[in-house]
Amino acid sequence: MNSKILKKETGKILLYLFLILLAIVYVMPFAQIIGNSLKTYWETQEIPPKLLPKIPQWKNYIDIWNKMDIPLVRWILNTVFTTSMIVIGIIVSCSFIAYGFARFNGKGKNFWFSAIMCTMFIPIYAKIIPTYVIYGKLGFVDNFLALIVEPFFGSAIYMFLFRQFILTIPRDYDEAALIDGAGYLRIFTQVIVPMLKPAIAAVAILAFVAAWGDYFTPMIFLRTPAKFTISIGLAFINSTVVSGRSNAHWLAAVTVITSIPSLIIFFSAQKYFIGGLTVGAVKG
Amino acid sequence: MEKKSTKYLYMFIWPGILGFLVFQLAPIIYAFVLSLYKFNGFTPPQYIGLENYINMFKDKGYWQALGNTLYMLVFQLPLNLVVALLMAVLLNRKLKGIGLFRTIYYIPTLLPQVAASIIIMTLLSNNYGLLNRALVLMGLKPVDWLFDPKVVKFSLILVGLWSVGRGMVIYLANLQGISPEYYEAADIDGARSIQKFFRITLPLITPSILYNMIIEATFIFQLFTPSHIITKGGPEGASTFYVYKLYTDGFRHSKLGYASAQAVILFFIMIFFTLLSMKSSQSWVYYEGGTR
Repeated sequence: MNSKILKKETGKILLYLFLILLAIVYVMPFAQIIGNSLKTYWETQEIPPKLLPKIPQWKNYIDIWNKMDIPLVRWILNTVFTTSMIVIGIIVSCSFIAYGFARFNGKGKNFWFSAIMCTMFIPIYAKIIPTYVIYGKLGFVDNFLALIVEPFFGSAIYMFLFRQFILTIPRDYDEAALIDGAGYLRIFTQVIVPMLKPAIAAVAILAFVAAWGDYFTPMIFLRTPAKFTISIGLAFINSTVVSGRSNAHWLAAVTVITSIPSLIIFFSAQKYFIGGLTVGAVKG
Repeated sequence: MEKKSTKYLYMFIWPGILGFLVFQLAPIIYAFVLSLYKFNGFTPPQYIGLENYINMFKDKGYWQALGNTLYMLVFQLPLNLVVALLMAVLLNRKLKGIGLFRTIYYIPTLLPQVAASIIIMTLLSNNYGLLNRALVLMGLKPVDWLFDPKVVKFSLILVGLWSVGRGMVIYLANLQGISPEYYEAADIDGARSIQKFFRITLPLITPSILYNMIIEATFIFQLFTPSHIITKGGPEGASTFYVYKLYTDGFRHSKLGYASAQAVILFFIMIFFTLLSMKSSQSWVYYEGGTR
């Protein structure tokens, strides 16, 4: 009996040891970038490298805003703007479309549903050349419209997520409101949307992380530095570091700053995040 | 209510239909058209039939890019699926602090792509990176992670393991939905843990294996940012993946017609892969409730 307990306890300790070791591996890349962001320029050039600076240079996080000769604030404001428009567009359009698919039957429903679902597997890269040509003619190149119009017309994966969620809301709510004389538009906005809060939170977080971190689309469409999003700006700073015109400690600091918003969003609503991610996969 | 249902259906889904036609279908059709032209974006397009496709077959760079992508698909996809599953199984128990570990392993997937690339580049740097430093301290030889054509894809596969949390959370949710009764019944029958894993756990999580397979494969087909930020597709084209090749031909060399032809083939590869996964899933994905 005792040996059985002992065996169980050893197993537990070994598991913890393994998990801690793995956690160290996962945290290591962050540790070096944070360490670098607090070094002096010369400390970043040391060989062999050290993880931590002698004295943490917190002023690096002030210097990046005014000593680098780049419009960092502007880039962040641009990204805040494009990201919020994308997130709003996705939430409004996807919940609206999903309500239609979840509640009504009609000719062509299955066709359109499958057609839209299939687009989940069409990578942006397969459409980028024609989209670029078309947007060029519409005057969308070097314009935020290139990023923020499409999300207002639905996005398969988020639409699916909303649909799955709406299917779990009993129809009785709709019907009760209908008897009270409400139209479907009002039922949607005043009965369904308030109950969608957890799904809205999940989609908001997922869409935020994707839009904030997106690189390819803004890189293709935004040309003048004043219009850059933070990811293009970060890539730009990186290229100047590689070519020796900028400093590695500042690059590290901007990298940290760029990563923080997604982490804050994640930690502030972690429970919705996991739930939202999985509603589609598990309930299939 | 049923009679008027069609009207209400379209009242709500029209933005989706419009989005599908304008932002998905139209570009795909237009890509087909452009792929038949020689077009640099400035002078009028010139019809050349299938020449872009013929050139593609003769373009060694194209085959290398396709090969690089398939290499990642063959090695990275199964590795990611297995590691994510192992981690999920390990983390699927009620222990103190387990939530903290789940969070730590998940965080890398939240990073902006460029930030993640820079973090990785810093860690794997020859002289300034801590990974090589750790190898030296352990008495091993430093490795040229990013600029040796034989190593760079291996490095990117390693890096891919860093964001294995994406698949892990899907598995975890699935695992937590498995009714404990199955395991209790197996315990009564005296089943070993290994048997329980292969006979109960594995069949019941096949839906999320399928889901992760498709999601991870689309990620691999769209591998772009590390090549663009870290290696510029090099060394010797070893990290030029499909979409990086497409991008450089289209936007750097202004061969919009040629890049469109590559996009058309990419489109077919994606459709083929997705259909293949779906079709094959009928024989190996198990849905509770019996319908397969």
